[in-house]
Amino acid sequence: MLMGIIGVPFVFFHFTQELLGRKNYLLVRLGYLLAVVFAVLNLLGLIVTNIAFTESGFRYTIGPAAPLLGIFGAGYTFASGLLLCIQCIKDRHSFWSNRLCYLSVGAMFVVVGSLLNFIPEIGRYPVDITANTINAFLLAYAIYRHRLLSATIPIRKALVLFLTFTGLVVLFLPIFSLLGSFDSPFILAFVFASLTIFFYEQLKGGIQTLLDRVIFGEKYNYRETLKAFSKLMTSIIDLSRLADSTLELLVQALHVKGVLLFLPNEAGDFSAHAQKGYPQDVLAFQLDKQSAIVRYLARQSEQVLTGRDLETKPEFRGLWQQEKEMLEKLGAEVIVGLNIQGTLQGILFLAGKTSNSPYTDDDLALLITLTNQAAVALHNAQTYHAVWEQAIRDDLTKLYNFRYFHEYLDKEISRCAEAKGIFSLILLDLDFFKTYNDVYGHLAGDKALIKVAQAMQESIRPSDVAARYGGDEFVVILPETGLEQAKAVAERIRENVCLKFQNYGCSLLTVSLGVAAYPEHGRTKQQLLTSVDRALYRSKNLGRNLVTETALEIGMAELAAQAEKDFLKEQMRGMQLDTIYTLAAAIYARDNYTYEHSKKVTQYAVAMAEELGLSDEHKQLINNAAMLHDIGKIGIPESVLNKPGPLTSSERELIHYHVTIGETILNQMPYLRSLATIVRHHHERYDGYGYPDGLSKENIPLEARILAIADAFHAMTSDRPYRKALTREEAIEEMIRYAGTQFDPHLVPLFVNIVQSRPPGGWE
Amino acid sequence: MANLCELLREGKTNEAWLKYCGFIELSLVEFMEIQERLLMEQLQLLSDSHLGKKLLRESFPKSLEEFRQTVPLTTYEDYLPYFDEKRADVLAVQPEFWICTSGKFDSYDQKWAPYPAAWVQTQINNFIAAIIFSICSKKGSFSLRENSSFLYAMAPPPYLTGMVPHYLKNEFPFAYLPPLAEAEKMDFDQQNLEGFRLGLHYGIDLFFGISAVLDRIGEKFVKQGIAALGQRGLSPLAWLRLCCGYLRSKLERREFLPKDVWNLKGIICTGTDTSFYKKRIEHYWGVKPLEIYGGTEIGFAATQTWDYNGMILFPDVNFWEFIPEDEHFKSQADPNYEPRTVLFSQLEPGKRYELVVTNLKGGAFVRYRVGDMIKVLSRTNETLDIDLPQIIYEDRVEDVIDLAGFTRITERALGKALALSGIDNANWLAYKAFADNHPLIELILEVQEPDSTRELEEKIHLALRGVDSDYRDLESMVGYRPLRVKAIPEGTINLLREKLGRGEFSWAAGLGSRLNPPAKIMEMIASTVEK
Repeated sequence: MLMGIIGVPFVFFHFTQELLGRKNYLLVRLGYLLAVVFAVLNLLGLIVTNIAFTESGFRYTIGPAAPLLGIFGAGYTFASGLLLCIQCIKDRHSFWSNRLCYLSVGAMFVVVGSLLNFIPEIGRYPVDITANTINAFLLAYAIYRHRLLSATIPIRKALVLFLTFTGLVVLFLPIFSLLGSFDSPFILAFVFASLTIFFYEQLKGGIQTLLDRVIFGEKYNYRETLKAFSKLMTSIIDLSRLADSTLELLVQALHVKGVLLFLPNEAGDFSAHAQKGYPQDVLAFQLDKQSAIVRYLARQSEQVLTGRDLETKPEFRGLWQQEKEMLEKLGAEVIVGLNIQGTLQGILFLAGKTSNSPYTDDDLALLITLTNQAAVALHNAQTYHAVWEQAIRDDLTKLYNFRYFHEYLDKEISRCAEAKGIFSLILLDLDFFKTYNDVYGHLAGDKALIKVAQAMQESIRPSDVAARYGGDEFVVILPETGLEQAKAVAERIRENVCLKFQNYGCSLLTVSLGVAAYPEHGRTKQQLLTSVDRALYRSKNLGRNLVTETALEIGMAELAAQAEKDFLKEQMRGMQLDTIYTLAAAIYARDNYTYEHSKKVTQYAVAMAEELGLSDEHKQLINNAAMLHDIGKIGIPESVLNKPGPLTSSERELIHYHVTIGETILNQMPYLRSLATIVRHHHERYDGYGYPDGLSKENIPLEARILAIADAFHAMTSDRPYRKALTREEAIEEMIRYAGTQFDPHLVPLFVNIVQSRPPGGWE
Repeated sequence: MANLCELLREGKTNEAWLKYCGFIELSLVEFMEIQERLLMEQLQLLSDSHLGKKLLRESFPKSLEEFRQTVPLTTYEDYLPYFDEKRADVLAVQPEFWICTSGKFDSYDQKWAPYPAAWVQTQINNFIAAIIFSICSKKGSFSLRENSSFLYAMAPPPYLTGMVPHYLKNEFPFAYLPPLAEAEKMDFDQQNLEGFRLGLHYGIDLFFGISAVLDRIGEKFVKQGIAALGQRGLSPLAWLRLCCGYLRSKLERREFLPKDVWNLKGIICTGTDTSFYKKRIEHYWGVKPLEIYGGTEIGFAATQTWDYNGMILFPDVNFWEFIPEDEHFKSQADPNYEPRTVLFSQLEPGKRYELVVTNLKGGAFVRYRVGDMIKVLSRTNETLDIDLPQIIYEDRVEDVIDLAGFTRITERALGKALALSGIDNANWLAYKAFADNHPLIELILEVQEPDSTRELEEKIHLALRGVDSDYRDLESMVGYRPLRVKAIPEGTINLLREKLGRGEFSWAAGLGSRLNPPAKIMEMIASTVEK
């Protein structure tokens, strides 16, 4: 009893200090020291003497050191009460006042109960024990009600011990009744000890398992699940399956409303990859790699963020409004970074729990354990996935490769053969790609292939399989798609490619496509590939930039005749285009300005031709003439062409000669002769003072008059070694001023309208 | 999202500190990351709006470098056609409300700025940070009682300061003195006096106002005692507070000061001259004033911390750029010159810069020249362990003299006052000076007869009162004449220009403003005046 009087005040003081987070342990240590001193004093009979149980009750007399113990006990209890009151007054918020009032009241009971012991007439009754019991109840209630301390562990320990010993007693009672005949307490003690040693561990183990199920409930199940998951993880290498399993486990173990997993994509940003408990549209969410959340999780050693962290930590002041809206929509209460060797491999967003209770520290600790394991497994799966992707993807275009296409086609044929399904194939080939490569170089050629691949991806469904068949040939498998739908998809691809290579009215690169369908055009792989190849060939022969199905319905003889005719025509056109590109490449090699100038003049001239409503053929003529209008400059010395100062009269004469040289070059090629006249006359003036022939008004070919305007406008708006560029407005003024003298007065307003209707960068 | 009130009720003072004041614990790198990230968001928002496209010159920069290279600096004139008519349709984000401030003399009456909701919330959070700094004594240690008495002596809506209390109540309940609805009907002087009178009854925990006003009331209180506020209608509690205060002053054997009556926990001040009034306010009120810096176009931009020295810019309200002083002078000389800017991380201690801002979170101003000069005190604050540059607000740029944050006198306004005074042809210069513990305009005027200076001063003062109503209010509010005329012989200024040599300063070439001439000129003038 006396040890209680000595111990309770300063232990209670220690508890108060811990609760309020105070770091001053000097008084606590002093308390422990004094407790020892008082215990010794008591043994020496200086505190309580002469204890006796009489008929009238418990009697004792107190010694000379008793008042000191009274001061010690009252002092520590009073100090505890004072600390609690100060805290209550200082923070007048319900958070502390609710929690601390129980402790303050309990402290008062302890003080009063202990002090009453010093009045032997009252102390003979167990008032202090009653007061301490009341305090213990208040303390326990405060701990339970307001979660002052985590009481689960001590409760579990106490219960295990209590139930074990109760069990032992229940077990031993019949044995003792049997052994009752033995009077010797020694034999009884021996039997009890032996049985305890034998049964204690087994009984304790069983009770502990039972209690764990009751006390830890879900967590116990979770731990069991975790064990199972650990085994499972080593066997799953498929990223999607693993992600789904992980999320499923989290939802079950923690009773979470929703979980969303983000994984890094090729750009380094994080895309939603898998979800549980959320609507499907959350998979559209993305997290930028520069997002404060990604940066924080990638940088910090801590891997868990709570919703409150996002609100309070200054690093998250940089969150975008749309990121905040995303967090709100997800109801994200916890965010966990999956880090492997310092690299962020994924991010988990967890919504609130179904019980609406907050995540406890235990929940978070368990979450970290789980995600650490999951992170390793996900990392392995990602690595496997990346290697697998590498093996089946084309390096340049990132479409599937030839090998994967064949594997997939085999599977698709088998599937359709078994299930009587359908699918279609599209084969695609770039038109004049060799020439494009020759003119623009292989680097530009590679870029073009990537653009075509993008155009294809944008035109097909996610379930379709697009692959690079080889070189400039691509192929698409369209599962569950009939011929007509496939033709529509092919047409969409063709249009998309045209758009991607659009260069003011003309497409620099086009594609021809063939379409075949299973089972109409073949039931085996070979038959299908032959059919689709034939369809592609037909598209090429019919003029390119076309979609054609394989020719089942047209007679082969007719097709052959038509094809031959088309082929010759196309050959001619092809040669013409090849030559133009080659000459353009020659200009580019010689003088980049002239090349860029020719391109711009082409844009302006074609725009005028369109505005004039000229036919496609006529427009093509103007396009080609504009591209080559300065081809004659090949024959002019560079020193004259790029001379910074004014030209002498002989130099000017030399420059004038470029139109004649151009005409001569173009006349050498029969299929370009139509351009020669236009090129010769593009420096004629409307008033007849131009060169080389001094033609005037409508005697100058229309195409040459168009070129004259386009040529002059671009020259005026470009910086040259001998003068600065005019602004667009200044150049327009010049054009208007010289309409009727230098330029065709009917064409100038038309051109000015075109220029003014476009923003400055609108020609790009 | 938990607000300040909820956090404090839950006893989470540390989290409250982190939420509102935690930005001072950012490293410079983290600060810049926030800046850049929010700038990218802002550019994305701007690219979808008419005004944004116009300001970005259709360039839609993808990086910070590209933004600074391609987007030109702007002034209010770029926004005037839209903001004069409060055109919300041209904006990236719809504004919660429009805020105004006084305009440019002879050009436009008022300047307007749209405030979108996300930006408003940021302003409120940052203002709370200033409140917390004003009442804390060390990092993370503060206590704020619900319904604390708040004497809010600032302009009513639609001025920026007037909007704050209306949004502050979503974060924390204050008891305003006088209550907002009443205060908004009163004139400024009346509002202040009534606030202090009510404070006699309820006490005053916090004050937010102009430092010159607080100084003036303190001065009046010392001179006139309670008569400065009027004795009629005081409650018994007010008399008790007065008596206790008076007794305290007598026990300490010193004069009766406002701090004996009102036990303020925090004072927040705006105004260019807060540092000038700092010691006097502390003497009268017992608390150092915490200076915050802001403006209509930039919101609450910076605050001092609990050492009451340099200010720290908030990372999430504007993207900060700074024109170095030499570049600033070049652009003053040649209006077509596009000055180079530096970033927050490139500021150098001891140097002066002109401020350029891009509003974040949907605000409208892009690379906007605010017209304010700041000075960098130090790269970090080692005493408080803050790793961010410490700045002070120096003054307005050359074309304005700012008096106590109360009025801004332009060259044109001063010229008009001179003309009204019958001085049409005299050469003159003006700058801000301090005399008798107050800021004032020092007008250096070339005159034929130095004896007539007093007479001229009177005339110009009266004319300025007519030209600028804020100047007139300042006189009645702070009770002194904010103008001093110093006469110099005719031809002196031109002589100085020649001495200075052409080319060094635009001012030397006769291109610079007549207001706030460079320090070198002021030194030369001072010696001339002495002679």
